[in-house]
Amino acid sequence: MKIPRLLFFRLDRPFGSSYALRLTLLLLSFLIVFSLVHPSVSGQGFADKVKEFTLANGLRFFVYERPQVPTFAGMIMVKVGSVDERKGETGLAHFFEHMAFKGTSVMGTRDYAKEKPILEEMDRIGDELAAEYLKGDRADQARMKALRDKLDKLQQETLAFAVKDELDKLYTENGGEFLNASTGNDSTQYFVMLPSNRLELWFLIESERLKDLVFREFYSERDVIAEERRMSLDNTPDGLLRDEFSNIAYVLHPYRHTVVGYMEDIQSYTKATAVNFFKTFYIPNNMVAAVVGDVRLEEVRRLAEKYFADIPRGADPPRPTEIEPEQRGERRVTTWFEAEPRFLMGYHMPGPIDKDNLTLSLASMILSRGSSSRLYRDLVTNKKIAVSVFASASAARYPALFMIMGQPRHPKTVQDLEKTVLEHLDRLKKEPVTQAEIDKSINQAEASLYRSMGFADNVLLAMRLLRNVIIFDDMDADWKRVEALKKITPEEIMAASNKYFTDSNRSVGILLRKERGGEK
Amino acid sequence: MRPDRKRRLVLAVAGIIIVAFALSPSAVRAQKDPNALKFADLEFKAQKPGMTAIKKGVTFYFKEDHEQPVIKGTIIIKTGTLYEPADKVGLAPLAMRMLKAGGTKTLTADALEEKLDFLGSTIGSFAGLEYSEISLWTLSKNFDETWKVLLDILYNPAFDPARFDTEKKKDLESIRRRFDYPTSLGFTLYTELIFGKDFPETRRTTSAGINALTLDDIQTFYEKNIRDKEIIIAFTGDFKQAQAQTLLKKDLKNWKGIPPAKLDLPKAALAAKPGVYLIDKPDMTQSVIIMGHLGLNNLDPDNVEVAIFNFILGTGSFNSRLMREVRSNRGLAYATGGMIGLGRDKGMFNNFCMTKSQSVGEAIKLMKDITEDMTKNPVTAGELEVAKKYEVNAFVHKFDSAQAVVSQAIYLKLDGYPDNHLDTYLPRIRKVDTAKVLAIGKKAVHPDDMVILVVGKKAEVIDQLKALGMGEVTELPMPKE
Repeated sequence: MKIPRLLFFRLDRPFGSSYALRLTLLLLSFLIVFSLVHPSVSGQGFADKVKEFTLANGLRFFVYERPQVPTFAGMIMVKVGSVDERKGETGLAHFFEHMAFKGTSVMGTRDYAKEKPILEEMDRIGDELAAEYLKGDRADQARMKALRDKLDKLQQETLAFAVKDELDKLYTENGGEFLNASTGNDSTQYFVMLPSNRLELWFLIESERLKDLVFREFYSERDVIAEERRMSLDNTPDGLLRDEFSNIAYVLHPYRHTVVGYMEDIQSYTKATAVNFFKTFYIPNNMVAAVVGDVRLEEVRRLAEKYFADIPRGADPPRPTEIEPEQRGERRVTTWFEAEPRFLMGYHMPGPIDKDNLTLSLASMILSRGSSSRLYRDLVTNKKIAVSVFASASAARYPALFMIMGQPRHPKTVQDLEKTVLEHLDRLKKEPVTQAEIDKSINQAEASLYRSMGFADNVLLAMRLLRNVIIFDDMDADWKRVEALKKITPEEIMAASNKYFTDSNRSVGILLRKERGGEK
Repeated sequence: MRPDRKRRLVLAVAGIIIVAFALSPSAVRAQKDPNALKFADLEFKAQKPGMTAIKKGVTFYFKEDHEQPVIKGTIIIKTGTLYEPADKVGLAPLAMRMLKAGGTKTLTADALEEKLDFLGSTIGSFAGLEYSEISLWTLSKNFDETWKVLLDILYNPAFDPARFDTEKKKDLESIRRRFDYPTSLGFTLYTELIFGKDFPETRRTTSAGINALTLDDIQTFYEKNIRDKEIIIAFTGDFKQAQAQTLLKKDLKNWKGIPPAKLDLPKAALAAKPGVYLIDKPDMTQSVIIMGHLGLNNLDPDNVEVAIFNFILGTGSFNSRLMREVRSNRGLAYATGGMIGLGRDKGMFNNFCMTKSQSVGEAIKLMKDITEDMTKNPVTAGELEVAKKYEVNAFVHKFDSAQAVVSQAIYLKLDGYPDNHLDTYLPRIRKVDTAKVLAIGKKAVHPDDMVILVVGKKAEVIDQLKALGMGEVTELPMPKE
């Protein structure tokens, strides 16, 4: 699946059902547009519809009563993503998200007392294996194989006590739909839709996996994640290009690595590292929850107190200390894959706290929003240089990139595409955009606040609501940002374009077919 | 003992017992065990959309929903790629796209796009197999203007020649990019192995074919398959039914609503010889495996019950055998699944996974064993129970929005399902037993017909494929397009 942006989410239960696939597509499209103006489903904002309360331990709940259909979506979003990982531990947030489905001392086992010592023995061997692996080319391969065999044998022994994937079974047999979790650069979220009479089930399962999680299948899950990486990054043109592009666009900031992490790190996490990660970030004051659908505020509050209030507050988690150094020269990377050419271009831009973040958002809409936009009209419709071209401005926890991505149309090349894109960026620097273009973009941005309704509405509403809170600490941030667009002037767009779209602030990534310099 | 003291003592003893019980390991466990929860019955009645005939050949489905100031409208036309002449593959999608992309007699293509973008509205059109759609999405305040554009597109398409050139070139580039993803290569060729290259559902565009299409072809397709043909109109959202009906009666007064020509389509027959097929992709570290054969008809007598079979085989996520064994127990894949599909004549039975080159043989054997077992042995009572509970409890999600209610009703009707299909769905699910699941396996899964396609690095997988003992491995050439 093509995901034309760098800051993205991984959904972790793919193809479970056609519903899951549809939801995946929808969420992805939602998240893609989100980067532009934080659009979505309810235009007037949430404030008059959503009630909020906070438990004594700091866990914030948002309740949106929508009684039309007797279902609800429950979502917990944790402010931890790949950006919170340290070197050598890339992919840990995502890896942990997989662990969160492995059960508790009650769910997923017939006899935890007997299972526990085997799990502990596995950890001892797992630590030895990781230590050996990290010796790199000096690692003793025979010893590693022996340790892996031991782990496999012990894993088999645990099966005598296991009730495999019981958490999934419990949700599913109770009518859970869209059961999934996703990890992104900035956050990790767990969600499911259930019939409204199963509200307490959601509270019980979600609270228990925070209070009493057992890290089962820790070592065998590495294989699954390795396959996930092969499937989504290593064996797809867009994944490969995105991975390599990030590695040059950032030199220091942890947005540099993709969510799934480097294969080398995936193979070497220890249980202790993962447990420590969990204890550091999965604390009530670092997460927010939304319940959207046919529920009542008072009942949600009662159940929240009953199930979540006894989770102790934790110390504020450490945050990345790396500030991306100013880029002082153009960077380029070429990747090769058996596919037609692709093009990515990125400029470092400020985060949401800076007004230019919004100014560049508006610039991205003028460039590529809709078929009458500048880039689409010129490159796709008229000059036929590309079959797709798309610009997006980031709005994330930390400053990220203004991205332009496209696919050239044969016989035109990535060089043709790049040249024309640069001409358009130059035009933004030299000529003020018209007021009509600004008005059109604002109309589109407003309309997009209402989009996506009609399928899995409750999940999407919960996602939008919580993301507003995690990134902007304001449930109506998206609406307010669209309002703020109205104050941006053509001169400000020109100034921001001159400031950020410079040669030395640019990174370019291209993908070519190996033979004949790039194409079939 | 005075009654009140006695009562207090009883209460105190009861209190101690309750506290002791609450602190006992079994009680703590019960508090943490979701299986111990009990739920009130769900009050729910399956929703149905409104439906009325605007005139002969024009049917209107609707469901108001005023939560958001938004209207979605769809016009469904009984045409699609199955209606294309065999020598003009790709005509239907191109014609449907050209309706909007080519502008109208009153609005140039540029002006039309500018207008819709300015309104924040969208109009889209696509061709399916038997049905095609033109749909609009708009804020309700902009409905009138957006609807006018849609009518203009429907009645007065201009098919601008410059835009025709652009759209054709897009198609040509799509053909070049068709196999950029190993999974799209795999599923395209697997479908071709099952149905054959010339089967109406399978045939795919070629650059020569797209190059040969002319504006006359588009015009002819429009006049023959779209203009004045039978249509279904669906509205959901912030509109009033009575006003919408009046509007449709007025605006479609002259639309003739002629039924589509009856199609004479071939029956499906397994095209490829059962066995193992390989496409060599030397750069890949992971292989795509797809295996199966033909599936069942949409209206098969087991078309509901098959959902239980599919859940247990491969659609029930971690509760399915494929996910449990291939991913969860053995770590062979991240993505895996399988199902008996339904289709116009026949759907496809397919099972898939993506696994590293080194484990291709193991994964195929495992998937083959899993599917074969479902033709020989009954599923367990536990598996059946989870699948049935899921179907029963998740039924409500089929109606989770006005749009879902309307679109589901329309397509069930178009595919020939009886009007009471959704009313009988749960009673039929409740009746499924292990014997029924096995009977479906015996009827629909044929291990001897299995076609297995692997897309991967030949040098690393060929020995594993030969060792399967399924005869020669047929290597397929990488298709040019």
